[in-house]
Amino acid sequence: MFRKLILFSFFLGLFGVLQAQKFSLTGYVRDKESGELMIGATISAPEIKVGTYTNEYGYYSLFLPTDSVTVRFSYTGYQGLEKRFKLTRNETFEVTLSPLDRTLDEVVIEANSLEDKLNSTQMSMDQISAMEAKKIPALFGEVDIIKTLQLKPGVKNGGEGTSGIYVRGGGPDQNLFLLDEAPIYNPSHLFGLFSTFNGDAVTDVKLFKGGFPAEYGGKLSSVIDVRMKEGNRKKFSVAGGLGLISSRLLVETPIIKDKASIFVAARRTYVDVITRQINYFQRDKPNFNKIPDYYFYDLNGKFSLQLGPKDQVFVSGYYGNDIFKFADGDFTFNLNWGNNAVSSQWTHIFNPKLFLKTVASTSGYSYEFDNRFGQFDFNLTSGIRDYAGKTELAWLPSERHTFKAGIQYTYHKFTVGRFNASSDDGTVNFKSGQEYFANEMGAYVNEEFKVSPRLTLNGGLRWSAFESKGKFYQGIEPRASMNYSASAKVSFKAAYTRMFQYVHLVSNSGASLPTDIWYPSNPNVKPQRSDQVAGGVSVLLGKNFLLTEEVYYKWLDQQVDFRDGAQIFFNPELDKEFVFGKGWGYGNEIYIEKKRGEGDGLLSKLTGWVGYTLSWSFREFPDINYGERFYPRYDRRHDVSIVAIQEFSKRWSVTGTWVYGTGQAISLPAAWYLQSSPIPGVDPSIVPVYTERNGFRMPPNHRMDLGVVYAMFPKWGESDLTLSIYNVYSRRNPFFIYFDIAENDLGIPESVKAKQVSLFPIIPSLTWNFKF
Amino acid sequence: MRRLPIILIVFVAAVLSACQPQKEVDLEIPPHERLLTVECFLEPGKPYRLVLTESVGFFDGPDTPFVDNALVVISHAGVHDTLVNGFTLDFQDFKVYNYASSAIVPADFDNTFSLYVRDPLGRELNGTTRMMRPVEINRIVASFNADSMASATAHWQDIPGEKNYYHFTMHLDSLVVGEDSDNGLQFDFNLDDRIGDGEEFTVGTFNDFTKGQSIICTVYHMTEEYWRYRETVDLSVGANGNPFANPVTIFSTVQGGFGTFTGLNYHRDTLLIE
Repeated sequence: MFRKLILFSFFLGLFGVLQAQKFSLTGYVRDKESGELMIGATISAPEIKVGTYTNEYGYYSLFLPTDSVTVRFSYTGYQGLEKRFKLTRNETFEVTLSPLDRTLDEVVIEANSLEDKLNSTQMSMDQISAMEAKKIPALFGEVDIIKTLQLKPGVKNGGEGTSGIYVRGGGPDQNLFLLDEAPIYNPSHLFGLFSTFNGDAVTDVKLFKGGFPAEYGGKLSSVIDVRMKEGNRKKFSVAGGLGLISSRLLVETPIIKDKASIFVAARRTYVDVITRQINYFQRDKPNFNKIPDYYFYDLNGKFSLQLGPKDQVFVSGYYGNDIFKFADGDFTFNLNWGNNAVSSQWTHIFNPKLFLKTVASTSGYSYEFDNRFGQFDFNLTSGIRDYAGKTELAWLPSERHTFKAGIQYTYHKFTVGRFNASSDDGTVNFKSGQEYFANEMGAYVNEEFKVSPRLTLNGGLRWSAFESKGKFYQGIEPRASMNYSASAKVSFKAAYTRMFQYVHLVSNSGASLPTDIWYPSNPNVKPQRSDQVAGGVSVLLGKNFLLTEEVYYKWLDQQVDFRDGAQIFFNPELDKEFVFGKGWGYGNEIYIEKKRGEGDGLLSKLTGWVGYTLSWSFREFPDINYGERFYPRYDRRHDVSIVAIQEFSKRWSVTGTWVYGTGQAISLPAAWYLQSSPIPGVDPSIVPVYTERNGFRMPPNHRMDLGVVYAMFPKWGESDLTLSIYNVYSRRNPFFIYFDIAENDLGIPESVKAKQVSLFPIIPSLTWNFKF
Repeated sequence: MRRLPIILIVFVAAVLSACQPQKEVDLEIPPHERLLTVECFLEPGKPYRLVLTESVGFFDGPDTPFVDNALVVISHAGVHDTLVNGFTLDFQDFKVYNYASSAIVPADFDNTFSLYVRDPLGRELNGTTRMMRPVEINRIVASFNADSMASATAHWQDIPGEKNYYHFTMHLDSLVVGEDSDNGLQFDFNLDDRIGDGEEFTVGTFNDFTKGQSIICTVYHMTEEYWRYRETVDLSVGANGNPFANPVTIFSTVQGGFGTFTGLNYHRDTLLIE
């Protein structure tokens, strides 16, 4: 029986080879107005039920029979294009798509991205474009792509208004943020309230929560692949916006028309300008406390060059900093932190079936305290710097097989607690700190195999390795996923992934802070590991709704935390303060999304989604919480998000979002005792006793945001006024809870009240955006 | 259009109500099993004495946590000394104790001291500690800025080749005035020698002082256990009201309850600013 099965499989394979001759149709898809490459555009031939997408460099390859077939090129928000092909050889066809003109009533062909999602083997993935993110109302009107991702099932924020993300029970350091292939280690500003990704500079974001393709590695829980725009290849263009707390400007221009372009985007907050004026006018008031200066800025840029029909070169850059300054008398305190990244990418098409990309990048994150008091100066710096190279070959031997293989190498340099102290008189002159170096390597193969029209398999194998302080770690990371289309409207998906993480973010705070330290695996610190299984079903409901249901279970090993009372700063043996444990999480994610329908009815123009997640996540460390398992702060039993975008007319559109989440798990003291200090002049004090890690829940968090866009069509270009109302019904969501203790004369608590502190009430903001 | 004023009123009311960022909330705290708590510092030349209390649930209502009628025994070099229950006041340091003995703590840096407590409810607590040799302050130096305001630095030499833990305090003019006074304790913090083994320690101040004032510096030489206890207590105290803090389990130096039993050795020096 087994032999017969092999024989049958052989003939099946032979049949695949001997089937009707096919040729490839390849090329790039570009925006007609700007000439920019379009990522994720759909290319399909509905008559023969084949299709593909453009890759992250806008390139596509589609196999067609010699018969005459119609090929449809489409992208959400753009007028589609249909063209009939009768291939007699491999052909190249460059495509340009025009953005939908909202001032005209047009009959358009739009991408049916729901069908694409239904048929894709990739599960646990969400993709958003900058265009979509800009429609979502935002805190202070600041468009934030990461906060848009927080509205997707399985993704949680770290607290109200924050842009950190926690994916399927994973920690904040377990997300791989890539900006044009370069890692970004701290993707937020202002202690996590805003993301580092300027919406003007970004064109596409993909979030992988599971089912990771083999090309990604190094972090356990998610991959956020952010792509910057390319720059206008057709004409000089300026865009920008004036907002409540910041302004943005983007300038793009062709250098050689249709061949080379460059763009620069800048953003800066200006709250410090206002606070400086307040400080100036209040300076003579008694008991006036100066307000520290704070601002952040971002610079993004990209150069792209079409070297020929087969070669493209891109150079992308990012530089952003947060600046916090305080000075009063002979005391100054400065804290700066920020990321920077440069990546250069070269793509080459050997032939219609073989595509190469090669990337060289450097990126880094660091923070620096600079403090002077009296005659003393202190300076403390920590950070990470990477130099990385990667090359990947994509080979499409036939319509049924897509191979990818690549190698990666990263040289890491860690600066941990570099400290300088000195005094004017020279009596103090002290330096300390550590530098660690590490080599991280990866090699992978991945194949997508369309076994039959109903069944597609995707299998990959990644080898990863890490060396630091003479210790060498390596591991094999299998990746597998499948899609079985039970019918044209129902598909089942499943995935398994293993990931290793060799670089750890160690934090002794309950939240992510800029002062958290990146630390390498070494003889004392083993790499983290995760295994995740996920299964799901997608159902196309009518033409405009897609229901996706996914369940997952994730195991996390060798999780890192600090022991209680750990000394983080000025510690040359920091890893002796670490404790190690395990984690696990499971959940169920339900997601219904609606795309724009046909016709002119109001409902047909309503788009959006509803997501619900039911999940549990746990941690267990022998040295924390008396060895008992506990919920991490971001464990959230119920998480709901509703997003509705309604275009009322060509000028008016309204977006509403509503989110609900179970309260954060927090630690609260259950008891107190009286501490008598041995120090003269110090009265007895109350010591709170925390008996259980994260044993309490804050009240649930819910909020509605509204965005109203009024589009104007001036002769000189495009413009709109965007009104964002954050927290419309001014829900006082809990930020933290503390105990307000009233003491009697003996220092004994007379009354204790639990008080909840909230951060953001209703915050309306108006932003004027323009483009010409 | 006639609805506009109503909408505006609702809007303003919402903004105003939101301007109160704090509100009282009800919490269900599980009942707390009270544990014995001791604070005992063995100071050479001073009698054996300590404060024995118990931990209290946060919502148990006003309560006096002092524990009476317990058996409290401190043992050293084969001698067991039972402390007597009763409030005593140290007029030198303005400290109150509820158990004390007339026996004097010896400056014994070689032998251990142990504590045993059993209260009428049968709860037991015990601990062991040793004395650390005091580390001398080498010098306190004042320097003046252009406005004739002085800053000061205190210097002491770390003992090389071993882990040392210190607590530094600086008082102005007086040791015993309360915390509300401008004089008295100016600042205190923990230090250890992990980045400067065998180096000279220097602690400095702002330019806050004038001629005629006295700066009193004290360096306590602590055991690692007591240092860790202080660190975890500071983190626990600091976590209440700090959204970024991660509360910790207190590392008590005694078993069976909370608190510390430790030797207290220090060197104190005073500089009159002239």
